[in-house]
Amino acid sequence: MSIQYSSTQTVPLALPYDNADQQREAAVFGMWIFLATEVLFFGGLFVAYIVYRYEYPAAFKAGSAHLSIMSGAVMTAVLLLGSLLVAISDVLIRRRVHDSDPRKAIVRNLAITTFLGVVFLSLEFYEWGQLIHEGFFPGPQFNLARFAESGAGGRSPEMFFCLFFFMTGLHAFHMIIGVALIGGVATALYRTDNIARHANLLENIGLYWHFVDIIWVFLFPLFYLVEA
Amino acid sequence: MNESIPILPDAASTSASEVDLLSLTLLSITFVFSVGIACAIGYFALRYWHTRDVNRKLHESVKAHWQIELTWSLIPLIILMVMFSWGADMFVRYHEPPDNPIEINVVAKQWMWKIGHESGPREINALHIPIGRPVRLTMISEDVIHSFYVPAFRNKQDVLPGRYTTMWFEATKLGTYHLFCAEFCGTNHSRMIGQVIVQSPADHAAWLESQPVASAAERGRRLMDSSGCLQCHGADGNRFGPPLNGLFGRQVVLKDGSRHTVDESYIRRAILEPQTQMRAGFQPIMPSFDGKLTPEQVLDIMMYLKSVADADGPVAGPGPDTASLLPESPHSSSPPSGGEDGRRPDEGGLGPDDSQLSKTLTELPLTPALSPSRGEGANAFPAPPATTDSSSSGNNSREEIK
Amino acid sequence: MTESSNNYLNDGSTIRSWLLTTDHKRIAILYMVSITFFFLFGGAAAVLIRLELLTPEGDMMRADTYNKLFSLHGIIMVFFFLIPSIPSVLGNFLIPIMIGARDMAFPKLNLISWYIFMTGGLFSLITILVGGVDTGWTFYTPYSSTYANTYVLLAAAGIFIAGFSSILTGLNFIVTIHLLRAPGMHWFRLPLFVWTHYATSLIFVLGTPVLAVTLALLGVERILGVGIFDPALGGDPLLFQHLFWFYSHPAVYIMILPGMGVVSELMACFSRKPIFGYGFVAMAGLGIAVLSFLVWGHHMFVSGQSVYAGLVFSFLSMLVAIPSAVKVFNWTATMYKGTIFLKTPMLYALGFIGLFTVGGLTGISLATLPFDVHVHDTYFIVAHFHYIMVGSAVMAYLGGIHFWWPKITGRIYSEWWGRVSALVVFFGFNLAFFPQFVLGYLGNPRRYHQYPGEFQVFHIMSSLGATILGLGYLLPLCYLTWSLKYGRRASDNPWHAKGLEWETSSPPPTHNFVTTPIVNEPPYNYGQPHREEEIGEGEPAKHHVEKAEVES
Repeated sequence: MSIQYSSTQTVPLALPYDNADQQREAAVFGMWIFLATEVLFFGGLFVAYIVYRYEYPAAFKAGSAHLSIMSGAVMTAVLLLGSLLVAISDVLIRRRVHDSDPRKAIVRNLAITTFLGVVFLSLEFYEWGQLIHEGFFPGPQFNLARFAESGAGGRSPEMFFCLFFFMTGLHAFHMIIGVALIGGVATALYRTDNIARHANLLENIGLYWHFVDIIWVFLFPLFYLVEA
Repeated sequence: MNESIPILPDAASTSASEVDLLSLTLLSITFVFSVGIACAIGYFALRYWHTRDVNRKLHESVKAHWQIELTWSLIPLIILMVMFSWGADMFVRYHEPPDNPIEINVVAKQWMWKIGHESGPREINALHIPIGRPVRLTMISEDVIHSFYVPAFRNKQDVLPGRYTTMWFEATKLGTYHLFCAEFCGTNHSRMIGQVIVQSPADHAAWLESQPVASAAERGRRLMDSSGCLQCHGADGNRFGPPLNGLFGRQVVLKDGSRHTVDESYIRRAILEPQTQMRAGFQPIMPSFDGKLTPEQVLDIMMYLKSVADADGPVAGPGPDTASLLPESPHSSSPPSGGEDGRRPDEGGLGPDDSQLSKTLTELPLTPALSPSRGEGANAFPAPPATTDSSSSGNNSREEIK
Repeated sequence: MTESSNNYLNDGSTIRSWLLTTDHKRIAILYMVSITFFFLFGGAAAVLIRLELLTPEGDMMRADTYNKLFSLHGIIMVFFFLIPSIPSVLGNFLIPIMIGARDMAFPKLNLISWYIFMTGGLFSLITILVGGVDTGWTFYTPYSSTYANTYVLLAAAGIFIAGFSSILTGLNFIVTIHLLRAPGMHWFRLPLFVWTHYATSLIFVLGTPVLAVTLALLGVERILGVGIFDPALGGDPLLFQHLFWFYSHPAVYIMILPGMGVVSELMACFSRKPIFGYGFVAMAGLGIAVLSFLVWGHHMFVSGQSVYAGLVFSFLSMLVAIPSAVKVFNWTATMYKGTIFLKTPMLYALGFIGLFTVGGLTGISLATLPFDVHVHDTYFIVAHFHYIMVGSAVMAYLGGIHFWWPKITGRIYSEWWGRVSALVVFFGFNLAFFPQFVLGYLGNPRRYHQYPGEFQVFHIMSSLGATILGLGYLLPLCYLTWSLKYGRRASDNPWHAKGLEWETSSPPPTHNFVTTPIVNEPPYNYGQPHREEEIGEGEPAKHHVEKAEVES
């Protein structure tokens, strides 16, 4: 079984495909479907959030007050900037301009994005550390006493933090994968002469990155901006 | 039908025969369509068997698919809508009990049913009810989800922890019927069974007489007394809590401005999580009794509050020295909702224990017999707390309640 | 005798060539072997259950053991047999061939899906070995989150992992069907098998993630001791039920839609006619997939959800019956003025139609609120879903296995044994499960280790039927395996069926086709039905069909 190459593209053609365009289309389509599954995955958690926010509004207000809006805002900005850079890179990589090689710009953009991703994760881990230190990690050691005056009944503040840690944790897990992927693409582009080879890959990874970004754009107001 | 092989359970409730009729209709529809399809298949298989020489030319009209498809979509749709409507109508009609049902409390736990009659008797895994009267069950679980199922009544309802669910039925036939737990609840799920005994009114009255316990409302009042509830919610001197007479069923306003009807869930929340439900015009000083009262005890208090739902004055109802509770001057039965300082004129004692009223809140005694509500050995109903010399430790002087 | 030397079975015979294959046909075989293995485990649990239930007392095993057995039976049969069965075996094998492609869109992802499935299965087997789980396959809280002291996390992890296999398979199917169709293979020329797998894949990708996150939340609750679903800690047990059933109701359509696709293929071939109302049947499948997401609350009519919710879900559940009814009518009409052969696959297909009608109509009964209030959580429910999942889905699977067995293996099975087994299965199944309808209405709750004595006669009937059914399942295991070595070799098209899969060799070459086919005719283009002598090669052929030479 030999690898077939289409005449206009140096990407190896996998067995099922007749031409490069078909292969690219399949990859992008596949990524969109995967992202749809991720929406449903997070969707279940958003449903749980909605249910418990309706049930325990005082707890959500009180819990949210312990989160740093500044930190959250910086994290949001960082992610949005990163997505912008990825989007720009995606445009650049497909340009057929003979007198300029966008490779340097693309690699630089992606490197910055990777760095911004690491900044995001660092801020996140730092905030988690602070919260855990203050006794807000759910479990038997949860510091309920801090919420005695808040009007939140029972263990409902713990519910807020349960959802917070789970949803931001799941998001961070996806971020780590995203950072690795962006970094990987950046490295691959750095090392190659023919950047067009990785155009499809960048497009797909870009889609993934934008998705992870959008999830954060929902998480930020839902957790940090409750009655801000 | 052979008597020893049952096909239908007894039909022993007002809804059972209608449910059976509905079921028979559904069964008939199932039968007609299944047999119809089977016959069609059998007929076609025979007639158009591959070695048979028959006319296989499809008539043009048969190829007009969309009319055929529409027909055999619409006809089932109509049948389905009819069945849905009938079922929905029954469901809604049977949702609320008729007026004045007998109130029964049910507390489910792994793996038994603890049943309490409003007139007092308690049962385990059995429920005696009179024929011909609606019975409403208010149910809660101490642990996992269970389900109260009486096949003869064609009725079941899941019993949840942390929340009341209700069901009602009216028995139409004397006899003893199965009670099953119908939601898997652990090891002895299949042993969590019992009986519903439907008696004639006379037999039932006799049975009730033979159970020597105070009514649930009476128990509830004594419990409120010994738990210290009446010290804030009672008469005579310092009052910090909303009066209990006429409370159940009323509309009240909370501190955040919202209006609520005082129903079972409101009361339960008020007792177990008072800080989430602060009344406007009262200080937010009520402690929580979560973990200090069993579900049965909460239900007994509920019974008491229901029994004084139409009463006048701050505290009245069953209990020793009822006569001394009559107010000296008439008062309106609806306390002002705002700006009240919770004080009421002295209306006489609540009973022998009333002399030890004004304790500081931190000294509110709780009967040692009370056990935590969740799974820690709270088995049979605890004995009603003895009220005469119960909680009174400490001094009897009247102190200011801060 | 020369066997065609260039087919996918011969193309590499090392273990490595099988375990690292990206050929969708080999992956299908891997699935077929693994799910058969899980089926035996789930079946063994069923045997033990039905043995215990011969007597009213719980005298054969402890209650805890019984509870673990029915839980494992449910988990293994649902997640490790039924959900993968037709899609991962027949779907994987046939979809690329039926659309004229060389492989799936993502062959490596296909292989990874199988490994993920096996990993999930491994977790389940470990769960059995270390002591099992006893929450039922439904994992209701707070029993499963706070009270059960069995291996809930292990079992949930196994299902969680296997779920990703479903998701990736569905993803693969959707992209493949959209993008890899051969020239001329327009959407409305696709076999209905492909249409139903497309509909199933929609459910795979949209429903399974919700189950995954629900199980993850359950895991968090158990590990950290927090109260997401436990009311004692502020949680809501009904939230678990809503989230669980949001997936698990569409999941039952995952289990039946592929079977409907198989039945369409069988009805067309063995009536020598196009499926009546092809377009409507195709759209009905999509309609079922969409509506399936809107009805989950009918599992919760007595759970404590509001009256309004009950009314809404009852209404929507009625609606989802319409597309199913449309399919049944169209299949039946396909036989009208056809040329009927009652070969083994056709027997299974007809059994499907009859039993699915009963199962589906009892579903309608359950959607009628007062009826469900009485029979919810009783044996009526058990009977209903077994009519669909066993009486319909498993029979469709067996019918499909028999139909495509010559294509997959290049061998012919014994038609006589095939028909006998189909009849044994049909009879055993009905004896096993029809009495359970009666039991349920009488009030025998489900998941009961012991029961009141007056129900025993029905349990005895049911256990007898289950024994016969089990025998009926063992028979194909034997004669199909036997045919691998001793069966006649199959021609390209032993059934003289229409469809691209029948235009390539049996077994197909590794790349499915020697040259890419071009499609220029409608599906099921059997032409005017007429009297025919015989098809199939189980008995001596009356008209001889050349075994096609396969060019390498």
